[in-house]
Amino acid sequence: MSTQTTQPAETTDATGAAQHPHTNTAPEALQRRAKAQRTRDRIQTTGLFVIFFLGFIGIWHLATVGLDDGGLAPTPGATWDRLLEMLGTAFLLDGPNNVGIFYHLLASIQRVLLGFGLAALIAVPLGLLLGTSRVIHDGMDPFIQILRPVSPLAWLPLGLALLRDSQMTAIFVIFMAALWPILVSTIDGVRRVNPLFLDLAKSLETDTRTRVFKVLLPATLPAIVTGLRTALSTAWLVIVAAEMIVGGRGMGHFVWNEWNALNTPSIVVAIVIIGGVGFLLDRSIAQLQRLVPKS
Amino acid sequence: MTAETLTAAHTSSEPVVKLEGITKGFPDRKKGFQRIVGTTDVDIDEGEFITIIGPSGCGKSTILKMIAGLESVDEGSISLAGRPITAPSRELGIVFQQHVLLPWMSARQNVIFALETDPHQKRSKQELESLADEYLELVNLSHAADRRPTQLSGGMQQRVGIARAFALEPKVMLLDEPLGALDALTRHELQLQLLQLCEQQKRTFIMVTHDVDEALLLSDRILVMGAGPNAQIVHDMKVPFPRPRDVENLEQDPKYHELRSFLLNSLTGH
Repeated sequence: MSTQTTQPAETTDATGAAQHPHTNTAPEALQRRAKAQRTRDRIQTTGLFVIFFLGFIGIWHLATVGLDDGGLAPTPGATWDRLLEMLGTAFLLDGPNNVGIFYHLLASIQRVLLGFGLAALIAVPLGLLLGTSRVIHDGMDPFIQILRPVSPLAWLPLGLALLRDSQMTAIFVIFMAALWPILVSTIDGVRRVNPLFLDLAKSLETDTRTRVFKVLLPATLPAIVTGLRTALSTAWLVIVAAEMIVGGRGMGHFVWNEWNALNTPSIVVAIVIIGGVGFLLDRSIAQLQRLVPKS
Repeated sequence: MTAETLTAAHTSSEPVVKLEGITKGFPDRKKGFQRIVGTTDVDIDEGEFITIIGPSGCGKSTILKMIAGLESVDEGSISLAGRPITAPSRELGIVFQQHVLLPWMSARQNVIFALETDPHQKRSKQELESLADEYLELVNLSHAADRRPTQLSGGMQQRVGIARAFALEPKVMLLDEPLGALDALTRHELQLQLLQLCEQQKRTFIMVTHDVDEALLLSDRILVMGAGPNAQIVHDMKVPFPRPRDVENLEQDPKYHELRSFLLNSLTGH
């Protein structure tokens, strides 16, 4: 396969080089050779992916067929059938126990975005404050250091006890998961701002507003976006576990429910969907990086 | 001398900047307070180009930062046109050693930022733009006005910084090793441009440098700092060459070489 693509590229090389032996600009032949190289690389990558994928399916098949005593192990075939079935009923909404996968997904995304948004609203301004003021930071730091390593799920029972609402509790858990990465990253970002930028702002007699919005915030933006990315992916990790406990609608609840029904192929389908959506969420927040000026 | 200048605080021909026995130090556990740098009384006249030169680490930049109001003064006081300097002010235009251009703004926007933040004077958008262009023209950067700092060479970045400081129309320009981070060729080129600018603009300049030739080329007066700790001004030297100056004439002048070796000797401690 690869020899076929290289062959014509090499013959044109020779003629192309002969046509422009002394010019300074890249001769056509060189460009063509580079292009052929890129095509070759792409074909190799795709080929490898296909091989890995087939290998993966093969191992999966052998493993599950061999183990399939009680019909619990999700075989590739059963999973494929289940995938088509779930996509077919994705928008089904027929009573509380018969909800399509789309609505589970929607519920999870809503919780994550709400909890994450609330966390960002609080963590970014707080981070700017704590990054600027050493004194306030040092007073607050013990709380951050003790609370940060705690699994957000540990807050779940407390949330249930205080809020007495499973929906609010799930959002609260996501809030606790997203808060720390944004806060810590923003504080760190403020501290890394070139101190001369602040000297400049002072020497221009700028007011606090200008200093924060025109100097500090743009200079800290890359670190804030990094914090937001980490927070969103953490939130997406946590929501599945939280929903297994709080119930209602959601991907976590769906997975746990299917396990209780011993319907393991659905779990594999759900895992792939959770992974795919997590990837898309990360990609979309990464777009914020484009707003960030290159420095 | 010290007592006299202290008492004669309000004479008729007031200097622009007055340093009155200033020191900077840090709290020390054993000795209580450790001075790191200080000056006797120094009067800087309007239109004077004064250079503070000294070995690295002697604290010359700290003195400039104190004048800029960016560092507190531990003892003594500094005044600008009769009023004590306690905070940074737009009357003091600073050119930093590294370029301090906001990377998310173009060269023109950086100059505009300095102009539009003026709390004493609000200008229209057109006024701001034409003023910014005027000052970029002054440093021959009209063609690069729309470029971001990362798209400018080191010398160009520094010229934008100089344009921005001039745009404030400050009483005093403070130059903190403005050409220190540049390669030798660019540095020489910018020295000549700076010479032309300061002779044209007739402002008061206070510059810090460790480059003897730069100091001699640009200054009316050179303050030589001794070595630290607690570095002091060891020489206060007039530079007698007439203006406008010309590098080639200057380098043929035996007096230039005499002053140059004197400065080099006092910097290396002979």
